[in-house]
Amino acid sequence: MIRRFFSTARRRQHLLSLGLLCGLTLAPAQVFAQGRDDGSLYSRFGLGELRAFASPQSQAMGGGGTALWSWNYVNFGNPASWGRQRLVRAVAGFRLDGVEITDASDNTKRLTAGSLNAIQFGVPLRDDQLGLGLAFEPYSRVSYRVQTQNQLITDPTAQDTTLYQIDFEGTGGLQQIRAGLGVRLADILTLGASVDVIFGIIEEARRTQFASVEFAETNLATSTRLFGVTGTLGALVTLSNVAGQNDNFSLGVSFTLPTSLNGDRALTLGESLSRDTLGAEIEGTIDLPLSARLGLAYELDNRWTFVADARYEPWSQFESDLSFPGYTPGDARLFRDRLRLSAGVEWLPAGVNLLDSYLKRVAYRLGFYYDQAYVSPVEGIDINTLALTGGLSMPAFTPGTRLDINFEVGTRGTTDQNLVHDLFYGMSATLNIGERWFIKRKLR
Amino acid sequence: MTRTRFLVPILVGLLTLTACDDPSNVGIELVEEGGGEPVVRVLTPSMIEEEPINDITGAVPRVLAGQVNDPMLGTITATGYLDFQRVDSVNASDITGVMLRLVRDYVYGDTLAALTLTVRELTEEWNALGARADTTLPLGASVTTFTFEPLDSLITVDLPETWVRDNDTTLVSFHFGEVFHGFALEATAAEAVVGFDFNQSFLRITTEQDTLDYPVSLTLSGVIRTGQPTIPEGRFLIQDGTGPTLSFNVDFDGLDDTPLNAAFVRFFADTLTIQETPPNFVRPLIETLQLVRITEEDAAFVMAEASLDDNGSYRFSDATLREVLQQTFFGQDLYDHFALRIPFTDNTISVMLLFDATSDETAPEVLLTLSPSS
Repeated sequence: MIRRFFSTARRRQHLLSLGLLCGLTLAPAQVFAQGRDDGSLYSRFGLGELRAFASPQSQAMGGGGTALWSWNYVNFGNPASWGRQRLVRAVAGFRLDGVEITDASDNTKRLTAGSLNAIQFGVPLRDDQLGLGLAFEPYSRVSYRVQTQNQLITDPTAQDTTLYQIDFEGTGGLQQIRAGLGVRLADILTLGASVDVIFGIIEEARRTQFASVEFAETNLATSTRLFGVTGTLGALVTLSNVAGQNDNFSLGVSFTLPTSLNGDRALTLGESLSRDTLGAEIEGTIDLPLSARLGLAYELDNRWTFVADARYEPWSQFESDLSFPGYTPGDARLFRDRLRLSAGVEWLPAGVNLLDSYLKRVAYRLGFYYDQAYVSPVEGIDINTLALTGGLSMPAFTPGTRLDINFEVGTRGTTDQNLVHDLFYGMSATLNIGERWFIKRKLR
Repeated sequence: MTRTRFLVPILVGLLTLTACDDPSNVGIELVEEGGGEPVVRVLTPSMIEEEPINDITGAVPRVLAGQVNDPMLGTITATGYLDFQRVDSVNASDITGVMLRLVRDYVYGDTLAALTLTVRELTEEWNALGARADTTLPLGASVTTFTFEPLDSLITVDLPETWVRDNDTTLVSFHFGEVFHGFALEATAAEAVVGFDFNQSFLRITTEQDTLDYPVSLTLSGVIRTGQPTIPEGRFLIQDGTGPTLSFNVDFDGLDDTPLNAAFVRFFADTLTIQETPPNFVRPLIETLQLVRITEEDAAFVMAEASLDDNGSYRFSDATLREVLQQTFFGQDLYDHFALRIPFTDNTISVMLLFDATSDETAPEVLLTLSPSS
């Protein structure tokens, strides 16, 4: 079976491509490079900017996709969709993000960074009945950097002053490894479940440098290591020929269970290998709330797909033994329930006709989303995100393989109350390889 | 298919795009409550005390000899010990003369009164390494006396013919180093202490055909003070050679685990009072001080050096000083107390008056630039 698996040049090419992508992107400590510290300042608060990547298809259609399923994609927005697979799929993608941050005085700074989107695998264990999903994907991201300069009177007697600069930096975030099964119980019903391991390090650093060589640089960092396990349950109901012939209407629900993360925090001084730990490490528990998702999808004539999604997470119930920016133990005033609404449309002119022209076999997508953030730096001020998404899905290599190029542009925040306004934009590329593996030979 | 061949390189290329950044201070209000502004704390050393000390005066490039009566600081008597090293050889019978050639490079005291020193033999082998100012060596017979002006830079002393005849064989012997133990220069009549440069002084052996210069191989200065100094109030005396120096401590309460960007220690010197001397009386000032940490085992480690600056102060600043204090904030036990020392290689009896903590403007100070975590 293994020799047959490697037998074709095409398969070797696929594996080489995926291997190259995974090898480069899985470089130690940079798996989700997350652009180090070049992102939105709002990512400083709470556990960072929450992220999710269901599939490149759903990403271009507003980022929802709870009810979305397709033979061409593995959808990690709902584990129930894993029961409806025919090809082994491997997906890897990365993105380039830019953000223009503006304050109330119209001062602006621009930052860009590249990062990995996700690595996903889907394996049909039984065609369109039982399937496996496996993914390594982001949960949250902390990525910011701000700099300030000032003068300090370093010698009051001699009235000597020295220029200094402080860089406030935040890096890291949480990732999750997910593995689970989806099973089709009946023509219309598919259920799924996954185990999700959430882990990561969030680091906030403050680097103080002076213009004079008599002053040593100090790099003070708070590193919080978090780890926990949760699970996601999903259900997908698909009805055919609802409004007319050749249509499918799907309703999907998915719940990620509340869980507790174990955390330990250390305050360090110094650089990388020569850090001194200050004080004792602090341990604590962080309680994550439930995440509930509801989605609708309508597919018409194998050409048009419409989706709408809602996500709700009661972060006002967040509790933690450790403090975070925007949170002190027992005081979650700056946390609020998160609501995310999205919708999108896809047009595939060729439908299921694999012999049609290339441009007709490209899928064209558009979507939007609204996200009320779970944490705000200022009580009473909501940090809302409004964004437009879109993309192209281009066939490549073999019929089951596609390259998705997506874009996103949106705004976040406000300049009221000394806050900042983000204008963000991004582009991503995802390689989605699908092949039929493990073909059983028949003897004639 | 051609276009798909470029997919992987394109994707890899996108991945290698690095972050472009322009951090600036936009949004600084969103992070400022995290603290971090550096602050300067000025501490006053506590428990400042004069510390008696016998400086190392052996195996250093200068030897002291003479006696000075300082109206402020008492009487200081110095005896210099020199040994020489044989180079090459001549016949003993060819020796016509032996001269002690001394180059003066230091003076403390009355610059007009002539100085008379006695050259005496040393009778036993001695070791200069690490020897301190209170060391005395057994003296042998007097060889000669010589008189010179304290400001003379070159002093030559012809040793008596009788001594040369009695020692000519020794002077040329291969066992010179084992048999001959050098000379002591003892004050007979003096109003000053002078210093002779080790590297330019030697014992000159003269023949009719040749001249051999035996360089100095060992030096030691025995220095003692008699009588108590009379110091104005509000000052500490520090003096090279006989001491005293200063020891002190600093209270770093409340600075546990605090990041330290810089540490300076400053002592202000009373250069006016110390230079109030009788006419023609020279009282050299200490140019360089060392700040050392003294461990519980009494070991001394230099952390920084400072020279007297234009503001009349010694300002100590060094990465070692910063690191010692930083580790102290982290709970390390690296010292028992601090002290000021004069580099022993100078070998002088120079002095300085340092202000104590009673005056706000000239009190010693420890300046710490800190970046507290909150």
